[in-house]
Formats: sequence, C-alpha cells, structure tokens
Amino acid sequence: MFKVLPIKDKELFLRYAIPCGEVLVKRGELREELLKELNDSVKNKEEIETPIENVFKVAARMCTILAKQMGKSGIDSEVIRRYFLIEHEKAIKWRKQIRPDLKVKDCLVYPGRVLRVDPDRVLARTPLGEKFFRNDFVEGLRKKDRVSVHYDYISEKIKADHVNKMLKRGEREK
Amino acid sequence: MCFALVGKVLEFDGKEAKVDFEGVRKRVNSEFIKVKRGDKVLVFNNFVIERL
Repeated sequence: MFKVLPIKDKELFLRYAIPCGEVLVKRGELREELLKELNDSVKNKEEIETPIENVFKVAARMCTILAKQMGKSGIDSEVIRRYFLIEHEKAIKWRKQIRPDLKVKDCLVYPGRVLRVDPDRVLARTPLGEKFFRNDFVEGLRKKDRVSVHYDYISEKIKADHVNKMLKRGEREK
Repeated sequence: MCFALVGKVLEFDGKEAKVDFEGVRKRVNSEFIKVKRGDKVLVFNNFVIERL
C-alpha cells in the first residue's frame, strides 16, 4: 500500500492541482461540485477539510516520492514547487513517450509575466504567447509580476530564479 | 500531473518492474509498491504509484 506523506501546504498544492482538475472531471475521476468546492475554499482562504491526497492522487504520490528523495517527512512548499515547476514537466513528457496521442503543451506549468490586471482576469505573456488567465488565487498582482500559470489559472507569484529553472526546461520566455 | 498510465507487470526483481503499456514495455521503479507478475498497476514518471 502506498503511504502518502502529509501535505503541509494544502493551499499551495491546490493552487497547482486545481487548474487541471477539469481533466479528471472529464475522465470521471472527480466530481465537478467537489472541484468547485475546493476552488472556492482556496479562493476564500478557508480551511481545507477534504483529503486532497485522495482527490489528486497522482500528484500527491509523486510529491511523496520527491519528498522522500529530498529527505523530508512531509510535502512542504519546497517539494510542491519542485514537483510542479520542474519534475511535473518530465513526468508529462515521460507519459508522452508511451502515449504519443496524449497532449503535453496544455498540461505543463509555465512562467509568465503580468502585462495587465483586470478585475476578473489577468493578461500575461508566457512561452505560449500572451493569454488571459483566471485569477482566483493570487491577491495584489501588478504589471511585470512574475507568475506561474497552469491551464487557465495563475497559480502564484514566483521569483526570478524559479523562472530561470523553469526556462532551463527548454522553453524560452518571449 | 493529472493522470497516470495503466500497465501490466511482466517481471519484478524486488525494486524494478518490467511493465507492458499496451505493447510499449518499460522498466520502471517499483520500490514504493511491491508487485508481482500479472498485477495491473498505475505508473507515472517511471514510478509505480498504485496496484489496481
């Protein structure tokens, strides 16, 4: 039986996991209502009661493996960022080797630079070009902020060295 | 992240497993879950993460 380590920063984990929740909904692995409930919990900074390691099973187990490799006893923010900003890309491309029919581009987490902040969305420049993103999770965003984007979400503000590590994965920031 | 791949175990040597993914065969790390020949498993980024 795979024992998942405790997720110490549930909010950060969900900021990265929720954006591709729709894929799980379409596969019948997640109820739309629960995904919306989790989204609202993060948005409103509420306590997260749901056992999210069972909702986002693959990410929780991959983070557990990474945490153990890093010599940690739990899934903290360092593990979460290492997984979603760096390892996640390798995992998606590993999957593509076996299943070439599965798309890659959308699944990846990209670095972005905020160009404009509107009341209900944010325009950011990413390696995929300029796109609008939902901004459910990040307060106080301003023009030129560096962010991580996943599907149509802004996940969080990130630092320049995160961006550099992400870009070393092979995309260039235009 | 969202979903892993389902495969069938062909061999297991205590740490690594040879897994068949509908014709694509790969050696993967199975140190976190003990498996045996014939098991159906979930695999992601070269790690067995669940026995189905």
